Amino acid sequence: MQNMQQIVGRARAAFRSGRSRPLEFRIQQLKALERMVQEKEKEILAALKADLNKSGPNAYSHEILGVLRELILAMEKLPSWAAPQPVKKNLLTMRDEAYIGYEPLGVVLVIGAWNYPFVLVMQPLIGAIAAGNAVVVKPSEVSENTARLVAELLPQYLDKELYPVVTGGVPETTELLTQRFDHILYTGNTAVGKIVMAAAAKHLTPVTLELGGKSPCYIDKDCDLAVACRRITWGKYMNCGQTCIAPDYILCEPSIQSKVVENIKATLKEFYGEDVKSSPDYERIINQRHFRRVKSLLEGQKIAHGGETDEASCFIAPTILTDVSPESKVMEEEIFGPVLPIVTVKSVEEAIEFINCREKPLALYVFSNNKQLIKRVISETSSGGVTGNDVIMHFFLSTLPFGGVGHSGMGAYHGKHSFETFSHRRACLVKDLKMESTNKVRYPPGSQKKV
Amino acid sequence: NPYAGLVSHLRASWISGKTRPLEYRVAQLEALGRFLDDKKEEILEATELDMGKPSFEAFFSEILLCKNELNVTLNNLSNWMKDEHVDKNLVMQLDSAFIRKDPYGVVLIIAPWNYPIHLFLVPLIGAIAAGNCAIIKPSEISKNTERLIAEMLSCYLDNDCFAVVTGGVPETTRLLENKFDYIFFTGSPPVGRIVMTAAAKHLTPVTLELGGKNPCYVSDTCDVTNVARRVAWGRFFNAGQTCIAPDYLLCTIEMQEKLMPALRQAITEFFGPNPRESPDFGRIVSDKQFQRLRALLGSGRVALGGQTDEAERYIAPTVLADVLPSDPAMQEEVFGPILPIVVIANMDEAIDFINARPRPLVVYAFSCDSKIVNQVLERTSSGGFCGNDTLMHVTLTSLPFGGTGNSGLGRYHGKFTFDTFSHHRGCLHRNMGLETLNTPRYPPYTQQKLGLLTSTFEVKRRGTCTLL
Repeated sequence: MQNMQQIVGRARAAFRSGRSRPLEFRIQQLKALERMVQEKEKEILAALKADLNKSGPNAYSHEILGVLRELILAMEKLPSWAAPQPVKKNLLTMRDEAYIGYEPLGVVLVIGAWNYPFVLVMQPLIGAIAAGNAVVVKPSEVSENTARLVAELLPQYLDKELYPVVTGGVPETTELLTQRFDHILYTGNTAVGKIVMAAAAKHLTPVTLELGGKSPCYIDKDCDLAVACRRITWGKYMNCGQTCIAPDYILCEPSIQSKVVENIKATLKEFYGEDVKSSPDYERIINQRHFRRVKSLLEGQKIAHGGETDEASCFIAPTILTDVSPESKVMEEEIFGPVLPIVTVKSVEEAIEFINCREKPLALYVFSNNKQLIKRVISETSSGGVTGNDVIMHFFLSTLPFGGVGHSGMGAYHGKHSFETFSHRRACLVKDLKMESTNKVRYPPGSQKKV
Repeated sequence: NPYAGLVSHLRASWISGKTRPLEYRVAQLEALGRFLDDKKEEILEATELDMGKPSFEAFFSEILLCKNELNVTLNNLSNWMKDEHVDKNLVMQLDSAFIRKDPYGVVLIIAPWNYPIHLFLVPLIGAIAAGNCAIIKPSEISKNTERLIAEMLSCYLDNDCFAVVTGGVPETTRLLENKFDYIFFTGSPPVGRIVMTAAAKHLTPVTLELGGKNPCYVSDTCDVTNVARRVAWGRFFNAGQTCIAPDYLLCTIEMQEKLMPALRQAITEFFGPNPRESPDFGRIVSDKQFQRLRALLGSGRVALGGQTDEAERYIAPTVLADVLPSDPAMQEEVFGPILPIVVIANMDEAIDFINARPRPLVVYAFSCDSKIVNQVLERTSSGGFCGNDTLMHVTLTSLPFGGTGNSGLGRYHGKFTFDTFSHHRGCLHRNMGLETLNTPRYPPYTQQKLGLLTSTFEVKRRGTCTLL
């Protein structure tokens, strides 16, 4: 096992040296990351293929494109993000300098997840570097090829002491979490999120927890079902359903349930052909444990489409379940697989109530031609984020903060929000030593006049 | 779980949606304003009984500053509540993209004893403004104010949505077993850890306003009289029981020499020859705190003050000279009317001294040379910074108030309080039409589709040509 205390200690000493603070240094490191992504594109795509059976163009658009975008944005905007922000002054401080300064926090820890193993480590890393911190990177051991690659590549391109990569599983992560960090960004599940926050509490370390939940998808009667179902199919079955913001389950009125099934079936054929298993664009479940977990969710369910599985290759066909009971196992936990339950509800009111009885999800989706209905669903529910009339897409707009609420997480990042997450916003008031007469009003002895 | 009933009652009110409309929030905030106006005398009296708080100080911190926060909030609430539209990328030009400010639900505010009204009321203003229900847990140590809050607040606020819970450590521990949607805690770092650990069980986000030893560097080039006044004011306000008070001074031996008569002069100006008789000097809140502080008087040598009276819990405005880093006064946050002076050789040594210690809530630096002030600012880290004065940065509601590292996490005051108690929800409302524009993202994946995606999704560096 790597010596966590030494690794973190070295990163802290490197941070204390001050070299990660100048903007030029940060931009230089970000440029190096950009070079890494461009030069090692083949290796990155190969790792993603080995871990998740992701096809080249798919992996590129879901993982590499986003990373390059964040890098370019950070490099371009860093000077304006890092500039002190003057604030509105009052009468007493009129002649003073008052501003918010953006400062690095120190040594931050980024813990990645296995489902989008490259982007979920890189995006936080970009924000943390941009904010001037040292960063300890802990990729998920479950996506072992990507973890190994990240551990190999980062030291080749970045400052080795400031940005070490730690590999390993639960024992290593537990050991790592006993160290003191100045911020922890964790992407993963709710149960481990609690463990991370409890460990952080010992050091009063602020945390950003990007967790999960069951992201509901309400389809209104009044909507273009063909379009809605195509968009939903895309978001649900990408990465074999292993997406934290995938539409987890559908809520709709019974009268449209069979049309929804028909439309999704048609779209699946369009996307993956007659034999899904031989489509190069359809991924696999990450490992046997998750394969068994997802497969068990099918027990006792009405399978309207799909349901085929193959344990040897961790293949589960795109599956649709109809007339699902809210009490069934598939409705208890986040599915994180290519199984789409449809729960029927009589009205949008019932859908809203259904959603509100449950833990706040990471994402919420609603499809309707009726703008008012969409507004209503948004206003009467809570979730990390929302996309109306589509799925997933709010993730791709970096001006929107990306994060959860309640059990789906706390804090947010992407774009400038990453920079702010990893910075300390320090209130600064600089006065003059002269002008003492204006201060006399506040000094004792007190008097009514002074009041 | 003795508080389960109360929490679920508030949660039911929350679910009913009654705290969400602007009019409701405004009505509750205005009621808080009336509480401050109607109960001004009672507040002054209760805080005087609790810690001998001079009425001038009580009016300033417990009434005036609170009303400022109320007014800033009432003046701006409808704007703050509006959806914040954000810049869109190429693909989303026809969509609506905005950040919605959602209330969290049922929040818990735990307040300390030193500014017992201010430190529950200002967070509560933000909690109400953001549309939440709230449980307020005032400190049992400031027991007169605790009683006032418990008895009076319910006459002003909607009891279905806002409740006061009283009690000590056992009660707070039981209260923390419940699930809250946000916890706002002001107090000490050790208890902050306990609160955050309890919050972790429910994944409840927190703001922790903690403390530490706020260093105050005084350079050799400064106006000694003004420095002495400003430092004395900040140190002895509320008999030193202020989280942002200058905790200790760092200066050269020559400056220590020069400051002493100036500090003596300032103390006399403020409190007269016998501060015990001044109505403008407070008392220590409890016997326990009094004993703790008295034990610190053995640090260094007493250069000014040092008198104590146990019956009154009076400790004179005191300055300790030649304090060593190993002395008791340098081992914990002073939180009393005692100012230790630690002698250093120069600014670099002062900065190293500060950086070797946990990050404080605020760093102070005094100098006529603005370069020196800026150096201390740039080379240290703290919640906030104030150059050439003390305490004042928290009166500016446009500045975020909070700690970093051991001194806390999160921030508030002004709009920051509203933001603290809101979930910032990223919302994208797309067009159902124009489905052909989505084709590049769908399987079967091809290089051609990828090329299209790349050009429409990418942020181009300035200077390179952009498609469309």
